[in-house]
Amino acid sequence: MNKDESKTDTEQLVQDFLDGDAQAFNRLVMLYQTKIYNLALNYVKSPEEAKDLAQDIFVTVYRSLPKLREKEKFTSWLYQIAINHCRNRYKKLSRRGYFSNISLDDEESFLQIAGDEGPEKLLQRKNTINLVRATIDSMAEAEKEIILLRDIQELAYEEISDILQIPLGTVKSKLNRARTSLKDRLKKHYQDL
Amino acid sequence: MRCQDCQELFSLYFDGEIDQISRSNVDSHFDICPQCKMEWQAFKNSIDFLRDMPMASVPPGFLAGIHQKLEPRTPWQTVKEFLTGKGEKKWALSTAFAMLVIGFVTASLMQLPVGQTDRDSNTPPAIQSGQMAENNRNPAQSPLQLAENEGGKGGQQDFYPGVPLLSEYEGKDSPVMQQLAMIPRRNTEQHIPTVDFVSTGAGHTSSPYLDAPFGSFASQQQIPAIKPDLQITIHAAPRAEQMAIVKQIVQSPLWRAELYDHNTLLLSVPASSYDQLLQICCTEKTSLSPEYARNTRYISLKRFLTVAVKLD
Repeated sequence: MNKDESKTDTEQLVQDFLDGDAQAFNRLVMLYQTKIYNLALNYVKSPEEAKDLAQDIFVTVYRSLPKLREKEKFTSWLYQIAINHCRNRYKKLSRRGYFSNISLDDEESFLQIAGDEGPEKLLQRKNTINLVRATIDSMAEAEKEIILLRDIQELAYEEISDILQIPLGTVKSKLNRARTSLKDRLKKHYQDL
Repeated sequence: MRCQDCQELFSLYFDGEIDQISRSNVDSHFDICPQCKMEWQAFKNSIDFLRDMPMASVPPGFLAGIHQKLEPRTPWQTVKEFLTGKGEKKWALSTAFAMLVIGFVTASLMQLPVGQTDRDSNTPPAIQSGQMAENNRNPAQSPLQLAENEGGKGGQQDFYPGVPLLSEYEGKDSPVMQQLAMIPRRNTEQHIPTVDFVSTGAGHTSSPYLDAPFGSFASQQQIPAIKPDLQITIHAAPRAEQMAIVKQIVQSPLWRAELYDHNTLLLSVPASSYDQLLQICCTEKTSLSPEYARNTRYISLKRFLTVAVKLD
């Protein structure tokens, strides 16, 4: 399904839900659950916590959807809620010292690396993924967010502008800075990439 | 075009959001500047890799969990959330206050049955009725109760008549388990154990009492405090072999172990360490309840699992 089709589907589902079709919400969840869950995972690191966080995001969506005025902007609105939830949960967990007990090794369990590669290649790929993840984690919050939204969540510039509530030009310049920062941090590991 | 100008366009160039003239300028700059071309390759490789990273799949029961959260909450769920730390702070505070009140009420109710403790047996029958016991909450109205407390408990003053004295919570031969610390002791025979055992988290791993059979600690009144997620039973084997397994469990820094009763340990195991516990416990001389817990695939991704390890 390409992006435009998905957008049309989303708008239809939102309309169906507002017209009283309860199943439409389930279909909306199915459509976005992987992306929102992975976004949450990038903030809180543990699958259990990410599941709880992503569920809370959809609960808020369910309760607030009737108040959404621009139905065509559902995706941006959903991510706005998601980012706010993620930031809040991240702060809350940080205050409790939650992240000092989590290592990158814990994250490996949720990485499902498929492929026909041999075990050596697979291990190498896993290590590289961990390296990239660690690099993203080490970036400043704003840089990390914009990279997640553009390169992991594959959102359009306009959507990112709506979500982060910054002008389009700022999105472009911030994204270039964040990507350049990522490149510089990964430079010494290029032979692995 | 300067190198800096070229590199500022990398992002738009990568996304194809660049106008034709700027694109040509960047291409021409690459032809004459190998350094920028190299930087571009590195830039492109980083983002290509990022975009190829696999997405984690959503855990089972995700949608059902959302529906569950949308259902109205019972008071018990609110208390449970408070205990697991998931509730909001404002709820946590009010729930904490409510629990405190419930705690006091429960403790005073447990005091009511007649003839169960020394103090009860000395109390005149008239003030053991619910109504009179209620009156006794005011120390000014119950000089008898106060006098008895002072005399009978070696001068300790009871500030809350009707609520068991602190010394009743802290029997000389207890408490082995923290969970039971708030349950007043009733009518248990005075039994002085050979050693005291107090779990102190990581420090308990060097306890010199590990080789002693659990029977030494068996004076604790057995009241189920919590329900474990699973139970591992170590079946009959030479005692030394049983104790060797127990020793391994207790000495591991990966989880917290506490003694539950004379033959049961309670462990709080981080889900990430469950594998290690299975390696220690899962021999042919052990059984698991539920049995499918041998396969970590079926273990829920709770942050901590409560495991009871029982000696058969």
